[in-house]
Formats: sequence, structure tokens, C-alpha cells
Amino acid sequence: MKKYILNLYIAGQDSVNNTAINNLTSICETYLKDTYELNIIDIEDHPEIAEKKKIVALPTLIKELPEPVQKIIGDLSDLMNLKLELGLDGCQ
Amino acid sequence: MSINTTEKKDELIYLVDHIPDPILIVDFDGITQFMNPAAELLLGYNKSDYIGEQFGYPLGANIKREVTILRPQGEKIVCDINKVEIIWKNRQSYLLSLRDITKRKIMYQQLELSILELKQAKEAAEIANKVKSEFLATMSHEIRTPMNAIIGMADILLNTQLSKQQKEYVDIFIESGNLLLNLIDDILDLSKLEAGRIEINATSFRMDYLIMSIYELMAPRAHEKGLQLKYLIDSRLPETLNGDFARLRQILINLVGNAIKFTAKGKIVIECNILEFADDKSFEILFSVADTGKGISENKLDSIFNSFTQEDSTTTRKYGGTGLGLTISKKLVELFGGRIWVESKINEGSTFYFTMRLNVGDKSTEKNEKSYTEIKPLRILLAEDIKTNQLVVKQYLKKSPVDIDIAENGRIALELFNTNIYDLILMDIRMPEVDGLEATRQIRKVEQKKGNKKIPIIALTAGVTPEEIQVNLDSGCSEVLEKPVRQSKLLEVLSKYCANT
Repeated sequence: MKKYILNLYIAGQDSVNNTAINNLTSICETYLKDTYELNIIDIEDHPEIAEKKKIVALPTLIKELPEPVQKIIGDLSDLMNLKLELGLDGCQ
Repeated sequence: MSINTTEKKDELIYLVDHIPDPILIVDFDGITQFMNPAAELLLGYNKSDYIGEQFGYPLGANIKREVTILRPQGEKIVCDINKVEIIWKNRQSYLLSLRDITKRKIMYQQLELSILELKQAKEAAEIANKVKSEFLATMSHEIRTPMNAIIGMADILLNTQLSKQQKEYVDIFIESGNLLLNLIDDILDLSKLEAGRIEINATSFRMDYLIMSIYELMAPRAHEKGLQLKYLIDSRLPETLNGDFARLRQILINLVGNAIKFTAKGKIVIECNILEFADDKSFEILFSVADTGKGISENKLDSIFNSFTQEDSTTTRKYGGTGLGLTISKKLVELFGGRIWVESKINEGSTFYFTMRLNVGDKSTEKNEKSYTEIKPLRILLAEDIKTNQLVVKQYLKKSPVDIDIAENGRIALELFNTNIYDLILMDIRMPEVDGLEATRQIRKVEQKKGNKKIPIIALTAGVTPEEIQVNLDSGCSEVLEKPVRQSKLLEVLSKYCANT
């Protein structure tokens, strides 16, 4: 069982979306090692998902697990606050 | 009090409803609690669709972040989103404000694209310009090399037994050759000026010597046509001045040459006056060349400095010339920060004026004007691969007490240098096997190793750009002589270095 399930919804491959991908993968690799599942979903390929998930702003990170479900908007380039939001603030 | 509070509340609601910036309030779970009409408009959702849904929030506070907003019909807009913490209905919440930056973003992308395109266009133009300059330099060299042989052989032919008619033919030979060389020089000059490749070479010189040298050069031509040539120099000018002597001379020769060409009778007067004392160190000088020629009609006064324009097209046929002289003069004068203009009256004559700022010169570096024509016995090594050019140099020095050894390339030159003692080397630059530059470097190396004195090496080259001359000097050449070499110039250089040895 993975402890963390993270879905990152992006809109194409511009610099903002790529920054979000880089920030998220680096924090996962550093702090979550083998305990996470990360999915990157480009809504340009799957426009129906955005509606289903009620996503309005992109990029959006949805932390499905652990609960509560959280939505974080933007390029995630604030690693300290990202750790805080994901409950990783105790990690070194 | 309660009326005031109600009033204030109404005002705030009014404000929030009418503010053009979209505002959302979400709780700490990211659930939408409030959105103003501007937010509804921007997001394209009704309030009722979205209140209670999880919108989410960006990280940090008071930091603008760029996001893409998806509107219901699949339309996308780019917004900056910002977050501040507030208390909303007694709960800690976030106030999110959005700003549509789609237009700015598109403009920025277009701007970046335009900058890229401009950059590429600029690079392409620079490359094309460089190619053009190189082409002209190469062409000039390629034309000069055979011209060297033609003019040289004609010079030699002139000194042999010729009938009167043959002498006339040879004179035409030489004259046409010189005209062709001038034409090449003019075109090369103009292309360099237009490409901004001409550098100012300031040296110290004497104005009276300069004007006198122009007088000596041009007087025979004037006298031949029965014209008087006169000059007047401002006596307040200091003995030595500093400026681009060669270019100033070029401008004056051009104007005087034109004056002689277009004047049938009367006189030509060269004047040089101080226009303004800028300070102790520099002067604004007004040069003028006045003639008593046929004059220039008023409607031609402006266009006369344009390329390939003479007074009218029949003028070229009658008087010859490239029509580039005044254009080059104008560009040169402007390069030196001066002005050039003409005043003229039909059938009375024209006066060309130009101004130039010159500095007070340094006496110690003043050009030595002593003439060198006497040569003492010398032993010379000539490195030159082309037979006709070898013959030209030999003929030029026939009457001088000079022994010449010939090397067909740089390798042979090096061998001869190592086994013989010479007073001077004449080194052609473009040769097969080992070229003149390499041979010169090798010779300098040998000298350094043996601790010998440096032998004068005179480079002979048809490459005439300042860059090429510099390459020659860098290799260790003492002086660069431009091809085609004239007899007088060769003798002058030989006696200069022979006096030094």
C-alpha cells in the first residue's frame, strides 16, 4: 500500500507546468521515497477529467491520500510551504 | 451606531460586487465560500455551481503565481493568482484574487518571437555584409595582382627603345591601368565606409608639407591645362597638427582633382583657415578648394555628393571618373565629425568647403619628409613566385647598385637566408608551399636564436585592408608595401632601410 497518492493535473508543457512537475518529483524523491504514487495528467489529453474533478486552475496538485483530500494550485515553487501542506514539515 | 454599521456593510458589498478584480474566498480546506461577480465572469461559472466545491489554493502568501484557468467551453485564460489569509465568518480563510494576464502573456510571447526574428535577421544581415566585404577585399586583391604585372611591365616597356607611336600606346596603357586601380580603390573605400569599417588613423603632420605635397602632385596636371594652382595657409596654424593625415590628403586630392577636371581656364585656390579655436589643444579648420570652372546648376548642388552622380550623365563621358570621389569625401568628412558643402555660380566657378577638427601635434613623432632616392650597394633577397613580378622588381632596381637573389617560395627564401648574408628581404605574402607570413616568422625565430640583428623584411601584398596589413606586421615584417609597387616607392623604402643598417 502506498501511503501517498498524488495526482498532478497540468495544461500542456509550458514553463509553469514543467516547474510544477520538477518541484513535485524532487520533493517526492527526497522525502517519500517508495511510499508514494505520483500521476501526472495532462488535461489537454483528458479534458473530461477536469470537469469530473472540478479543476478550474492549472497546474493543480490533488493529494488523494492521505486524507483529507487537498488541492494546491500553481507551480509549487515554494518547497517549504509544499512540505507543510503535505504534512512533511517534520522531515529533514 | 447600528445604522452606521449597516451602511458600512452595504458599502463594502457594493464595493466587492463592482470591483473589476475577481475575488474568491476559500476555507483552509480549499472549499469555495464566496466569489464576487467578477470571479463568476472570469471563471464562467455561476456562484451556485461553485460554492461548496473544492477550488484549492496556491502556496505561500502574497506571491503572484501564474495559472491557466479552464472555462466551461474549454476556453483557456492565463491569470495571476494571489493569496492572503483573512478571517471570514469567524473562520480562518484565504482570500484569492485573480488577474487576467492572457493579453499580456500573448503580447509577451509575440514580443519574444519578434526579438528572436530580429536577432536572426540582424545576424543574417551581418553575415551577408561580412561576406560582401570579404568578397570586395578578395576581388580587389585578385584584380590588383594582375594589374601589378600590367602596370609594371608597361613601366618597363616605357624605358626601352620605342617609336613615338609605341610610346603613346604605352602611355595609354599606364594611364588606363592607373585609372582602373583608382576605380578599384574608390569602390573598396566606399564599401568599407558604408560597412563602417574605416578606422581613423591619427598621426602628427605638418599642414604646410601636406598642402605642398598636394600642390606638387596636382600642379603638373593643372599647368598642362593652362590653369594656375595656388594655396593659402592660415599663419596662425601650429607647426605640427595631429589627425588622419592620409584621409585628409585623400579628400583634398579629390577636390583639387575635380576642380582641375572641370575648369577650362583660370585658377584653382586651396585654402586652409582656422575657423574656431576650440581650446589650446584643438582647432576647427575650414578647408576650401575654389575654381573658376563652369559651375554647378542650383538644382544639382544637393545631389552632387550622392554616389555615381556627376553634374549630368554627359559629364561622365566628357570628363571621366567614377563619380564616387565626392561621395567618399563626404562620408570621410562626416566620419571625422565635419561638414562638407559647395557654393557655386554658373560660368563663374565653384567652391567646395569642408571642416575638420584637428589637434595640436607632437613634434617628435612628426613624419620625416626627407626624400630617399640615393641607394648604397645592397644585397637583396626577393621572395616572389610570379615571374613577371620578379622581372618588375629587377627592372626597377636595374640602375641601382643592388644584387638580387630570387626565391620562388618561402621555403627557398628561408634556405637562402640561412646560407647568405642580405641587407634586406622583399617578401611576397601569397606564395606556394611556405607563404611569406610563415617565412617571416621562421626568419625572426632564427635571428632570435642566433641573437642576430633583425633584417628589414618588406612585405609585398595586394591585400590592402588594415586587418591584412596588421597581420603582416604581426608576423614580423618591418613594413608593408602595397601592390602594385611603384619604382619610386620601392627605392624610397630601400634607401630608408639601407640608411638604418
